[in-house]
Amino acid sequence: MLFNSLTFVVFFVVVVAAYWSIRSWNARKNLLVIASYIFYGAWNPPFAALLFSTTAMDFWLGRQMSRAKGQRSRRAWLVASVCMNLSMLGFFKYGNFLLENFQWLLARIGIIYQPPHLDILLPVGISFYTFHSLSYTLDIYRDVLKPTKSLRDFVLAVSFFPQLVAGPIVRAGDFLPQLVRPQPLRTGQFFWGLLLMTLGLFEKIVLADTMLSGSADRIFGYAGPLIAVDSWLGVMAFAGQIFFDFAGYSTCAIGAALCLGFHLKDNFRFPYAAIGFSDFWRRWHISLSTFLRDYLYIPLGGNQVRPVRAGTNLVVVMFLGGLWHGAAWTFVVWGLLHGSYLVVERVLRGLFEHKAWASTLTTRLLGGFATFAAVCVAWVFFRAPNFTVAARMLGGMFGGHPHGDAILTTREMLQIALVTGGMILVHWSLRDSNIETAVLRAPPWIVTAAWTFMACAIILTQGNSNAFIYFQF
Amino acid sequence: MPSFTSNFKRRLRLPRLFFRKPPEIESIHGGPPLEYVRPIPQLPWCGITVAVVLIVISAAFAWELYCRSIGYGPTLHDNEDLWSSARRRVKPESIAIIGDSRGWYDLDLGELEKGLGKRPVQLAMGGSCAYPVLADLATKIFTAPSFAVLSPVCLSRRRARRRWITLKKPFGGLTHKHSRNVPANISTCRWKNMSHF
Repeated sequence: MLFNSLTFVVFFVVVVAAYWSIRSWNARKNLLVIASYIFYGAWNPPFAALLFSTTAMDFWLGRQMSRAKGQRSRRAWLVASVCMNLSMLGFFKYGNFLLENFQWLLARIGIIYQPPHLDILLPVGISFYTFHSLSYTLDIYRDVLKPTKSLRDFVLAVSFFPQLVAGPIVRAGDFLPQLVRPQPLRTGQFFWGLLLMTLGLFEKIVLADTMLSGSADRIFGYAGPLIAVDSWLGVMAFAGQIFFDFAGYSTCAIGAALCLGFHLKDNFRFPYAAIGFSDFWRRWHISLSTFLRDYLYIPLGGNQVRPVRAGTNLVVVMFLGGLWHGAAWTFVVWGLLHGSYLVVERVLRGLFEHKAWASTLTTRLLGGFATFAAVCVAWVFFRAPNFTVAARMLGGMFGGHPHGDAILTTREMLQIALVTGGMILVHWSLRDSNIETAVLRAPPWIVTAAWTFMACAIILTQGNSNAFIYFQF
Repeated sequence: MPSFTSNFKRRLRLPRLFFRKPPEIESIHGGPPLEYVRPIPQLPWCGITVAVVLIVISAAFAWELYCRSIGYGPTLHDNEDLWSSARRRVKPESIAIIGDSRGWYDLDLGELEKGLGKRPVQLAMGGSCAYPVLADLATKIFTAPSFAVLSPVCLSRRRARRRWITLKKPFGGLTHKHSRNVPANISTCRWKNMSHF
């Protein structure tokens, strides 16, 4: 079920009405579990069983881990949980990818092997709910979470419908405490949740799908060489599209959760105003970057090791982060590029951080500009379906096709410039602040006008019911 | 001595929102998020919501009236979703129209229904080629020993014949015959899946 569909509107109204009309806390949680499974099962009912089996297994493994006496047996239960979750993810998401690469590898050494093509349907949101569930056993192992006694509560923590299929990755340790007792609905919380949902839908339907996706698709789908202006604008259009698409989903999820009395953490914090790549990853897909930081980077030694090892850790983490996004080498290159950006930034910081000119406004603005440009270059690999397209795009961006084609119309160019320019301006103006602060400072009539404008724009554009990009991950 | 940054801000006379770090009391999410509690801006939300709902309903109503006054009426949004919905309706006994814009625009489903006895499912798409859709239908829907595919004469049987050699291989042994007892502007290609004999 998509947030940007009328089906969801009806579903949400019914769930919210039923939720607040029930007085019993247990009955409310039961309702949310049923609603979440309907939300997920509406796409493909059998995969709801897969979701439940993963959740139930982790619940049981978490309990076994807490009962285990020695560290070795605790580790054994953790390994079982990690293997179970990752093998599930590996089979559904990386099965064909691994087979194809295995076939390629054998062909290189002269063995012709024709593997059967597995018609595996990727369960929507499997990367997200696997991480939701995995965080539970990982936190129990790290002694930062006590296992819950209620399977129902854990099922709800993993499958809570606002964040189920496209994040944010809500750790069980963040959500389970909210299920202990009913959260009082604070003044304005419900309406603020509705406003956030409107903002999220506006970002998705109007800005991502209507204003930017068409140009990005045309540029990346064009078979011929493109001039630099069109190539850069196409990549910038995609940079805006993926931000509005994913941040829009996260904002909707946060708003929907607020309407039901739950609090989810921010997943984005104005990432295109980042100065440097470590800053970028503190602002982009925060739930994933903190997940990788806490469960992978720090256990590998983090930055408390020798510089070469720390740099290797960064590259390994970003490589896996890239692979998490999709079973394709283009995603791997995207991750490796970000890993190498982080390493270069680390070296430069070590050399120049204490220089006086390093903290001037001009340097910071230049740093922000360079970060955005480098992130755009990396997006080429994220969006391109294969390396041929990626190479053609990069060739166009860096002047390789001076006599290439110009396919964007003036209106499309203005549209991209307006939307991405506005986005960057807003990100820079709010980079040390947050949306709540901005709304708090604004007079009520401006909030009313902005909310009305967004709602009217959603109704007028209507969108194409495009799925969110991150559904495929 | 004022820093370069503060001079910059003063020179530009930017609004307070710009480049201003929120004070501690406002900085609920400026630093690390507080545990599980999101800040709720304290505004007159009831009044704002009522105003928004009234304005949006009025604006949508006015827009609808305006569109109708200049001749637009409610219609289906003819997009990929509608095509998918039509594709799901195709059963082994169905008649499906596939092809490009000629099949899409030029065929009257009502008239075809009168002539053929059942309403065809419209799967033609502007600027598309019929063959991938035919392959999809042949492999996923029409698993019965034989099935009928209508092809308008304007798409020419010659083209179909020319394609036949390339079609034969991926279809895994499909053969076709033409029958002529059909309405004037339609010919029927009957495909038989040899693997089912």
